[in-house]
Formats: sequence, C-alpha cells, structure tokens
Amino acid sequence: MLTIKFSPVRSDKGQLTASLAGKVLTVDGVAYDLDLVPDGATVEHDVLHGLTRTGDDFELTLILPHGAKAPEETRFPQPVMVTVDGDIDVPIFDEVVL
Amino acid sequence: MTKARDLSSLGSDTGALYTTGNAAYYNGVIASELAADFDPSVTPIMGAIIESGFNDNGSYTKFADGTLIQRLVYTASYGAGENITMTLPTALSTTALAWAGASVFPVTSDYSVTVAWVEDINTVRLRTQLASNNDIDVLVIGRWF
Repeated sequence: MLTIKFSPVRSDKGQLTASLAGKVLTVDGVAYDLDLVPDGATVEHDVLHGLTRTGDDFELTLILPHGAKAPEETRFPQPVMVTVDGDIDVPIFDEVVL
Repeated sequence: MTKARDLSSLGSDTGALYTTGNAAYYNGVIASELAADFDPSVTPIMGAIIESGFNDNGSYTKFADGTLIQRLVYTASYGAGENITMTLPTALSTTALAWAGASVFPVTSDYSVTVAWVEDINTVRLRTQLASNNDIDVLVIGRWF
C-alpha cells in the first residue's frame, strides 16, 4: 500500500497529478520507481519527501500546490491510501467556477 | 506617473522600490506626489493587502509592495538541539533579505529556539535549545515578487 500525505502550498503551479502503476509512482509526469528504495529505508527526495518503505508499504509526502481560493479540503488535506493502480485522487487546485 | 496597480514593472526591477529617510518612493515617484494623484476608484492604496490565506502549513499575507509575511506554528514535541524543517505556506520569490524568527510559547527562559533561518524559498529551519512540547511560533518576512 502507498500512503501519500500532502503538504499544501499556495502556488500558481497548477493541479498536482499523480498515478501509480505497480511500484512506479508518477508525479506531474515524472516517473519514480519506488522499488529502488531498500526495505526499512527512509529517503529524502526533492519531490517524494520523507519516503519510507516497510516491506511493500510506502509512505511519502507530496507538496500540494493550491490556488488563492482553494477549498478547505485542499488547504487541509487528508492522506490518501493507494491500493490499486491508476490515477490517484488528489485534492483540487482551486475552487471550481461553474 | 506609474500607478500602484502597475505591479508588473516591479517584477524585474528590484531597485524600483526603496525608501530614503522619511520619504517613500515608488518607481521613483515620491509618495506624497503619488497620493496627490491618487484615484482610489482605479488604483489600490500602495501597501494594500493583495492576498491573504492559510493552509495546513500556516498563514500568509501578500502586500502590494511585494512584502510577504508568513506565520507558522510547530506543535509537535522536540528534543534538545534538534533541527526542525518546516514547509512555508507559500513560496518566497527569493531568499535575498528574507528573515525568519521564532519564539516558544508559553515563553520560558528554559525553552528557546537558538536560531531560525530561511533555508530556501520553500523552507524555514529552526534549531531548538532544550527538549520541550511547547509550541514554536515562527515568523518569516520576505518577498512574493
């Protein structure tokens, strides 16, 4: 299982995107092979902050850019537990204008 | 005359905004002259708050002259001589002249932060003196453009 925590930062970078395929995590179009992390290790990385591995369980923190009018769910995000491959549900960048 | 609304000209000209003595200048225009020509219907007051907000990392206020003030609170317990890294609620545009200060609350003489500094545009770091679980209030002043 992959646990992703988010660290919200007001920014104009736009929506964060992430997806998982096996042990390959793709963040904003860049793929990272989590399987390279040894079991029991903690790795400091510019994108995958505080990446830790315990067996097949991984935990890390991603910077979450958000707009000036982002909803509370984005500014105070909850961790997500990823158990299946595919796009990861990331809090929205800013309010949705209908 | 350059109006306060025209912030784009400040983005690439760091020398455009400065003060000399008691006179405040904005793009070379004396503030009193700017005020005389000031039309509040079309021009925001110089120094006005452009944006403020908060997220899980803290709060921030962006001022029209580029000043950015951020406040963070470290609430976890910590050890003596521990280095603490905190992500800013919004990024600074530069670390030049950026300043960080910290104090422990409630204030006691035994639990202080020896130093706080801006590590990079996204990060502030602290070094604790003694172990404690008292909150650490952090203030960062810099620029957002």
